[in-house]
Amino acid sequence: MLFNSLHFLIFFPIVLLIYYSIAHKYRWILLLLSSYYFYMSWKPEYIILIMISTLIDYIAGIQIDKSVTKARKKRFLILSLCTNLGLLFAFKYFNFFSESTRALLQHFAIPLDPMTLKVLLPVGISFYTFQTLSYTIDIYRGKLKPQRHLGIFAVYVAFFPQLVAGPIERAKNLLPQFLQPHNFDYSQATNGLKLMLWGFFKKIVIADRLAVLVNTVYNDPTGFTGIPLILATVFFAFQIYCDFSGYSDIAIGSAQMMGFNLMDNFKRPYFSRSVSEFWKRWHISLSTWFRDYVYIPLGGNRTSKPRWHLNIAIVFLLSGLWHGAAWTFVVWGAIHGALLIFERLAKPLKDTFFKATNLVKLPKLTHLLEIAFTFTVVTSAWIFFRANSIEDAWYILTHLFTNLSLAQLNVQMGAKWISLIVAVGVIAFMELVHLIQEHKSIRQFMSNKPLILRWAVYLAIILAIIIFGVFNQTPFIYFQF
Amino acid sequence: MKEHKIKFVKRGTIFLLIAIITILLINQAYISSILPQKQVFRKEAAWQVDKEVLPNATLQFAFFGDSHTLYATNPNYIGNSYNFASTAEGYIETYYKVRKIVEIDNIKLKTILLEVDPHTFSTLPRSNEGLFRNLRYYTSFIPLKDIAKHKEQSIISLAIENTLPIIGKGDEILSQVVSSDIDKGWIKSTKTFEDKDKEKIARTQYKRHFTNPPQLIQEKTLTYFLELLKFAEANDINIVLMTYPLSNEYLHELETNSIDTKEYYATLFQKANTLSTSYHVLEYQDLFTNKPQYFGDADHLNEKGAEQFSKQLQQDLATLIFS
Repeated sequence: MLFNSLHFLIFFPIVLLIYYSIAHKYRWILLLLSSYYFYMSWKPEYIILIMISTLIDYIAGIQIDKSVTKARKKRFLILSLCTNLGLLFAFKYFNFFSESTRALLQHFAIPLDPMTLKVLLPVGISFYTFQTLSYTIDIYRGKLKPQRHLGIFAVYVAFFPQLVAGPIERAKNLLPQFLQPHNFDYSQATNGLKLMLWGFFKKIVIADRLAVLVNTVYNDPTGFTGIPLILATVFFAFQIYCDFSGYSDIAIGSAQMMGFNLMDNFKRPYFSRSVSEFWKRWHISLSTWFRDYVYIPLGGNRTSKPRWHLNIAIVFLLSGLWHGAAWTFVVWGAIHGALLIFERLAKPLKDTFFKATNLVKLPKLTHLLEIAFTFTVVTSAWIFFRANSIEDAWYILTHLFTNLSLAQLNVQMGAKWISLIVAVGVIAFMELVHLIQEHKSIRQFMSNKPLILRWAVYLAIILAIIIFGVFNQTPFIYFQF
Repeated sequence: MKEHKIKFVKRGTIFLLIAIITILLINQAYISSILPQKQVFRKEAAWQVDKEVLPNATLQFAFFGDSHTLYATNPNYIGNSYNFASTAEGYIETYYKVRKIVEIDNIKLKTILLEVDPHTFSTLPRSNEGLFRNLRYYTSFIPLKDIAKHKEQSIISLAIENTLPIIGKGDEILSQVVSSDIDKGWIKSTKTFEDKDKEKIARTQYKRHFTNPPQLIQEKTLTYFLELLKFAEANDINIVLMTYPLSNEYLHELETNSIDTKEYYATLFQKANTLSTSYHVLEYQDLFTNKPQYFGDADHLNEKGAEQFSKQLQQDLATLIFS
């Protein structure tokens, strides 16, 4: 079920209504049934995968906790890792590795036709796999006690607001919330509703509008040069942000309406002044997951410099692969890893440059330059993320500044001028809101205003969604991961 | 908790009411002031007036198709004819339109002239999403459930779209609806092609028409094309299949992308021949290949081109003998 569908607009109020009408002790049943229904409305049979994951991790969690010896604990941890990563590998990566092996062997003139699986990628498999993995690893590390109520544990794995595209919640934060009774709270419910509204605006008005323009160029990039390639790439940077952060806002908002607090997933990433800051603001639940379960166990930064750099490279290659079973994602991850290493190596040089040019005396200008530089490199890396192949990405990268002409730009991008203007306008509006948020909470900013003004703003956003929204129910980009 | 619930319900209801009323008011303003300016509604309004003066409620030549037909055929040069084409129209829509003219408007059609250009049956412009784009126009003569079936969309969401046509029309409201003159269904194009980057325009147009690799014949469109032929035969209507003039650059683009038009037409006519219906074919694809001044873009004729083409068509139609 898509958040941006009529189906969800009917489903969610019904769940909410029943949720607050029944006693706390029965709510897990409602949440479990509604979560399974939510997932099954896409491909019913794939619920089995979630059930397997749930059951194995439930058992593994209890057994790890019960085990006295470290060896036995490890056995159950390995069972959990193998099951979850095995399913992920089979459904997401098997064909990729199979195809890559075939291509490699073909390069050496060794004919081989390895088998491929004819399966659809289960929606959200990367998200719930990582969520359940963190559960068993945390129990193994002694940081968490296992959940003995199978039903509640199943809700933790399948909680519908964040099931298919996160935020990837830690058991420590989310599990206890299922045990607490949630009374209806007016401000929490309205705050959740406002966040959902903002999420819908970002998805339907910005992301899906930009998708039309981006797809025209990226689905056949060799037909374009110069401005359309630059514009489509910049638009994609905002499309993916609005698509994914829009989803997160709807997820966090809908959970909040039911009394749950999910972690923040985005903090205005395009205001980052460095790539490392970008990763503290972008997909926070995934970057902290990689930090806690890969980077730190590898030694983090408390090791030799070469090893530290290697750790960064490993994390980002894995992050790239997590996003998709394709070389474009691996390259995207590698670019980010390289950028982070470069940033660390070049920091003294940058500081010297700022001092020598007296830019240190102009902090606002320095910030602006840093933001612009970070946005440029991050957006350039998105080319590999969005392109359909490495060849396409390379073509785009090498033709960004060829034939820089604005003539017939709208015709080339298959759109009217007004659509391009509206696209730029809605991005500017969002960034203006973000600019306010950089300095103070938008909730606080709004709460001081008279009711009539607040309502006028909410109504304007609703009208903007209805009138300027693109209603072709484009699935969220991160569903494919 | 109870207080919170009551406050939420109270305020929520008031806000919802205000929102609904505002949306309905804006929607009504859109329906009454902007929607009627749209080409399809203006064409329908003009047709309702024009049909009243048809001799014996009979139309000799009725042209159907998409923008190729819409801009190319000027009925002023062809006696007792009318241009019913509309932009991006496919055969599912055309089938219902012809039935409406015959069964609801009660007009006797003598001959229907149907566009069969290389992109006419292509899958790209015939997506479910693009079908019945002007929903409110089509629901005036097609049951919503039929449209829902064709679009493979839920009837509820279609009903909402039909009741609230304002949904998603922001860009349309901001850009003024072009109110070009409609003359017996024909719309004049004042655009020029010859002084532009013709190859680039042709490539852009090509991409709007074909997927990569191109899929030339969509089954659903073909089915309704054949249904239309059957309907015509049952109602004693003559059929002429027509190809419209294309520019050199567009034809070159077809060739570059390995589209073999001869093979395409052979397949298409073979399918049409499975019916007992007889039809004539008029081919004009190469008529103006070296005359870019007649084109508004790579595959649409402009006003000048329409004049030349319609005069030629008039002569050719006069020589056709219908059984």
